[in-house]
Amino acid sequence: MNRTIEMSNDKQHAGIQPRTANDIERHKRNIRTAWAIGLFALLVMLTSIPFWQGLYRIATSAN
Amino acid sequence: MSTATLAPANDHEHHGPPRGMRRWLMSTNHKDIGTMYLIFALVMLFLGGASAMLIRAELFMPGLQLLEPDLYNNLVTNHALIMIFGAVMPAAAGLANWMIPLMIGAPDMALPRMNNLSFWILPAAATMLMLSFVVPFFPGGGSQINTGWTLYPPLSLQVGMSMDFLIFAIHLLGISSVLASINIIVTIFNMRAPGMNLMQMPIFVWTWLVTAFLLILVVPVLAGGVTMLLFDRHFGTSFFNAAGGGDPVLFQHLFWFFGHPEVYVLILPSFGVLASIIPTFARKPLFGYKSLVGSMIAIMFIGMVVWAHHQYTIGMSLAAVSYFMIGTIIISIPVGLMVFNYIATMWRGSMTFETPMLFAVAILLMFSFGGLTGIMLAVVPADMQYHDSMFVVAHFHYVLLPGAVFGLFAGVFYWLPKWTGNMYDERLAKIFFWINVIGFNLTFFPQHFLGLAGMPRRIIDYNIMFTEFNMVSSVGAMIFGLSHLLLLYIIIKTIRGGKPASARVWEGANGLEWELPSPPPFHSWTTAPQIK
Repeated sequence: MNRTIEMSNDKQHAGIQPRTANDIERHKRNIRTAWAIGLFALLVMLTSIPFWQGLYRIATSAN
Repeated sequence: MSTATLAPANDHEHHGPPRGMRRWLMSTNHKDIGTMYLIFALVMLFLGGASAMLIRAELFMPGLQLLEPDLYNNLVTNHALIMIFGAVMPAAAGLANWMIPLMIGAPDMALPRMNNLSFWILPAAATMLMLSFVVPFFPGGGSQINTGWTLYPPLSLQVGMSMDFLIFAIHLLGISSVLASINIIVTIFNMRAPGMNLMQMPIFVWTWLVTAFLLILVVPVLAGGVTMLLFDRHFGTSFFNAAGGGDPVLFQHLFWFFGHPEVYVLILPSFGVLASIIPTFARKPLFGYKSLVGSMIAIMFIGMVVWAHHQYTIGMSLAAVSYFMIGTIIISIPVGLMVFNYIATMWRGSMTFETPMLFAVAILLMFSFGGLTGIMLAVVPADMQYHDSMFVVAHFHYVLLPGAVFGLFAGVFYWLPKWTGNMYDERLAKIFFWINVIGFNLTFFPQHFLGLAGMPRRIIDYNIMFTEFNMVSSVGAMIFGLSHLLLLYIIIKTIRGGKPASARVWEGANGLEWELPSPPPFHSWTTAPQIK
């Protein structure tokens, strides 16, 4: 894997940059991706088959 | 491997870090949060290490010396939980926080506030974990946790309130891990420098991508399992209570569905560190980049479907144990491929043996040894004999100490000059390496013989015939444990000063992180590098 890195020499681009439309769009994309993964994690927990199996057992054995 | 065509002119600090406690409590800076993770892990390493030294001090001779049986079991439980959740995982997360943004040319993690939350949940979880240890010492505190880290019912249903503290601690640790994993995945997917595709990322970043996905897939299952345990304990359910129609073995399946992939969660980031270190000190490009990526992905998928090799003795069908045995042996192929790739990287390289490289070579030797005993344990009829013996303790310490902890030490020595701007004391570091490795082998090598001779694990007393090997093991453990004070000294000494480190630090180092000065500015890569 060979790659070349180029960086801006323009000092106006250095340091903290004001937020651009691109940054805001990237931030929104980050949040969307995080929610998608988080919901997937929740799905994994809730759909652990034995979990539902157990819940079913509770429901059917309740006196 | 990368080639820089222009020296960086960006990253002038327009403002420095906030001052005082605010800097740490409110931090959203990946470097500061990485530092906090690493400090937290170091503290927990000493706590977990102290409990291990107490265990080995007790086992120095047969009979009861220092501890009561319940306290001994409590220490065994806490040692494992502290080391896994408190030391190794946070240390790996610390490396990830520090290095992933620097390596992919990102200004920070994708979700900096969530990053802060992921870290600050940890001290709360650690407090709960400590409370689970100390609560039984108070009046009305109930019995001590004597289950081991596996928390198997029915024993875990009978333990006092300390088990509730532990379950809550595991919930918090799980939340922290999942949040950190989400952040890492989003960072890697969305924040790479323009022009850097996935197959151009450093292997360390790949290992963390795979690890984060693995955590997302298995931690929620553990969370579900311990929640069911909590319901059985307090809300009248019978998920695992045989008297109510439940099945205790169900918990074992849920636990090991998390527990076995957890081994790869611990090991993979360290293997990523090796992929950075070995090419640097062998002065050769990494051998087999694509096969390393493929191996990791294979480890993730196969690692998730072989969990029940931890439970051969519960009485599964022949078909089931055969499947789990074959699956477990198959996983040695991608793991072996990773090891062979690293050896091939070293082959005919201009190698030098600075401390990170010493650790790397030692890891390959000792981890392979642990892997071989793993194949022994994967074989069902053999495992029936070795199960719950000291052989198993020796095996997993040979896998996890070199495979995870030594990899983290190697990473700390490799990147410490980058983080602090100062070179560490190479002579002291080499002394630490040798004492550490010799102490480790003295501690755990004899335990293979103890296990094969029939000494069970997790029991405070033993037959007098096991005395000599236990004495050697305990002396080794004291050397091994105390050697970490030297590590602490070296780290503090490096932070306080030393020979200034250059940006590249190591002659053969390649990658974006080495394009930045040492230490990197508080805000780095504010102008993204262009990768061609």
